[in-house]
Amino acid sequence: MKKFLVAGLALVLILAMGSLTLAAEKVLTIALSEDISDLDPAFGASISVNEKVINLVFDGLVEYGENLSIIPGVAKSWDISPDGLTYTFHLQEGIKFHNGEPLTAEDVKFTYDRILDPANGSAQRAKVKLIDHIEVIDDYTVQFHLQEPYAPFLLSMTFGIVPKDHVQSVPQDEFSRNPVGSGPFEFEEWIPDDRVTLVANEEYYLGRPNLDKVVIRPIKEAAVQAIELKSGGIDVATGLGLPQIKELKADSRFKIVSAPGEFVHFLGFMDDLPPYDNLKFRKMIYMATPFNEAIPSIYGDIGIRAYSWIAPTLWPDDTEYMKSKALAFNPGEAKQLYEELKQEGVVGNDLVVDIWVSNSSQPRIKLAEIMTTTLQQIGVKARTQVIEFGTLMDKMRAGETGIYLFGFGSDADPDFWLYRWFHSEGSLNFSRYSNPDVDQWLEQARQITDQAERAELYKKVLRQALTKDYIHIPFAFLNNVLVMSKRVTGLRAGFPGHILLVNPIANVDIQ
Amino acid sequence: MFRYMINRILWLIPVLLGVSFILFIILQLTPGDPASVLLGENAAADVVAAINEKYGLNDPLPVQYWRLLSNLCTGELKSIYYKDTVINIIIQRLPPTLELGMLSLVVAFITALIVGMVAAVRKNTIFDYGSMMLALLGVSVPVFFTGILLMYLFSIELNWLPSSGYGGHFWTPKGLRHIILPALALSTVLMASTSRLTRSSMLEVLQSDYVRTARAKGLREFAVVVKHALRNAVLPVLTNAGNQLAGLFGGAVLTETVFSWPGVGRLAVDAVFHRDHPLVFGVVLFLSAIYVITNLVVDLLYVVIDPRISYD
Repeated sequence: MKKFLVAGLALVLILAMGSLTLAAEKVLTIALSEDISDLDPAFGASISVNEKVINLVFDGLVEYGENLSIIPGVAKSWDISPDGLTYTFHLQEGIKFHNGEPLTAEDVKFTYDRILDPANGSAQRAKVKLIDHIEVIDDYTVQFHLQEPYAPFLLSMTFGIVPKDHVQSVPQDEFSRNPVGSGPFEFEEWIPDDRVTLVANEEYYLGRPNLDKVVIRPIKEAAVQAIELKSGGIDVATGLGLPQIKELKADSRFKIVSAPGEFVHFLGFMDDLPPYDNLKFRKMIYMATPFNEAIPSIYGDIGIRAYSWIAPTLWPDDTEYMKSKALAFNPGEAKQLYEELKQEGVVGNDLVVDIWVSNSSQPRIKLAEIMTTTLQQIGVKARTQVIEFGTLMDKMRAGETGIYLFGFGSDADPDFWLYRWFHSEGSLNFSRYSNPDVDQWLEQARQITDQAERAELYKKVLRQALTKDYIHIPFAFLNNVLVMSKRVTGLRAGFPGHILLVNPIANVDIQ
Repeated sequence: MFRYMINRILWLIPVLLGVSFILFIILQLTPGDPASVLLGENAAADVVAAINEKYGLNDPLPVQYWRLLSNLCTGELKSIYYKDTVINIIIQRLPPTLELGMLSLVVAFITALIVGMVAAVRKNTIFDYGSMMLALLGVSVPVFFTGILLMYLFSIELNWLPSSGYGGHFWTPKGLRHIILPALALSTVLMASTSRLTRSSMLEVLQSDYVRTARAKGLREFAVVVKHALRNAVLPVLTNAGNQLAGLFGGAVLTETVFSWPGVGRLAVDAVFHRDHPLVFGVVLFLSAIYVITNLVVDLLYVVIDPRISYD
């Protein structure tokens, strides 16, 4: 009996010891929804969790400032030739990589040549393939020569700069797992599926970060992220859903930091699959669905009703016009349209509308279910088809998804958003939309640099595609929501692809 | 006996070959491809083509199959998503997987054997009814829910234990604190059937002649039950455990997901969602090998427990 008592006491002591904390090191623990897979800026950044960590370890020529403006990063200034074909960047002197090597123009040239090489299969290539060649003028001056003027070029200059000598001396996969950059935090270790540990870069050119360490933990379930936040296992949660946000709002130990975001949720029609190619049919679907009523209740704090493909925080903002052209919920008229379509022979009595949605987005699934119900109410048989993301993309590519609910997000330039989705040759044009005017406007807008002129062209594109052809119905913009302990100061939301810990406009701290 | 072991181990080869073939066919038939998943929303056609070239995904099927097999044997099989060899990826996740699996097996077995034994000896008492009902509850409630419930209770309300994550080896204080909840959750998967089977098996054995003889000889009840009866009662329990092993793998996936436990189960599911063909290949074959070997171990344990059984 005594033996059990002693053993029990020992066990309790061991457990208690484990909970003692170390001396006051400033460690910020962030939860992301997935584990990272690749920290090489040329390859990993196409996946959002990789991108967020890459941006802590690497710096780009330029960075994001207030309101997503472009401000100097590694490049302290730049000149653009009048014909828009030559960009000359002047680098800050004295910036060093984490291995002590100085950052020079050679490293910049190497970074971009690497992305441009088609054999490397870098997903970032699309943003920079208009670069013809890169010239090193001297150690701190580098020149980019473009094949044609490309207005959003500066936005592509946020790619992390990699150290040429180091990258050439290690296998590519090794660099993906052990990145060396010049950013505010140095990579220390990555325990797969468990955590990534970064430590402060003592020699950072903007000054040493306030934080000593950053730990990134992949936690898939929103419910578990909330539990970890409450039990103190993490300080910042990034993947919370509406129920968890509601619960944590009421807890005084935490604060919700939210900013309007740009990620758009939309409904797409397949333009070469009858009857989804019929304009009246699309209008019927629009009017049969109570978007204005459903979106606030489905999204709550995590999103707002969208009327355009481009969020009000970006340009061009055409919200007033787009809102006026949005079709209001009108089941009576929708039903009438349905009758007309039947009479015209466009649809039969055996019509079944399938709404395809990925199982990874709860809000979109809810909308699909609401649509199914409201369509049934006007006499249209409808079904929600929830399938896994990879399978959905397959079906979309094969043109089998008459109506698909999807999402997209990109950087601040409208070209990145609209060209690939709405140009007839666009690489993401799953709807197979083809309008020669839209094609022309998109091509024109790419080449001129005057922002006001480009804005007009893009407005035309959106008005044609969304309010005349109704090829897509955008319905929500996701807010960028971070939920964190009140001990964290200075962390703002709203920077796509970044958890902005340290940058010319930020230096997050924890008490 | 030795020959028997060698024989069984040699059977691994045709079994795994058969599994690999069926697996390859299934992977090819599954919609979705590695490149699109890797690139996400940026999956433009030309980059997809470049990635397919890079990883040899355009080669004829027999060539791809042969490449997978030969790379697996030489240890060069590489994941598409993770930029590392499949062997390294699995090895990194072995300690957490094995520790969780073994600990939950031990917890499940010890609890179930004790509870089943006592329930049989105290048949039709409150303890009997209560413990059997609890065991039933444990297996009916999804392990996912059990996990979250445990987290809420011990992590938030009582603040005794951390909620998720791997804390290092289970013999370190931090590791022990982190493994308790997931091991408890996972053990419920096996506990119910094991304790019920122990109970009924014990009840049967306790009727037998040699037990009556042992009692007549004047042995203490404890010795009769544990040294004599239990040893005979445990055989069907062992068989059942071997059969339930597949369930343990499945339960491990859910437990690992809930507790963010960096194990092989979660790796398998992630690999499938990422359409990471080489990794799925490696992990599934690894799990198949584990399954076959564990069944072999169970069969060998029979010999240890019951001297009447021999494989010669």
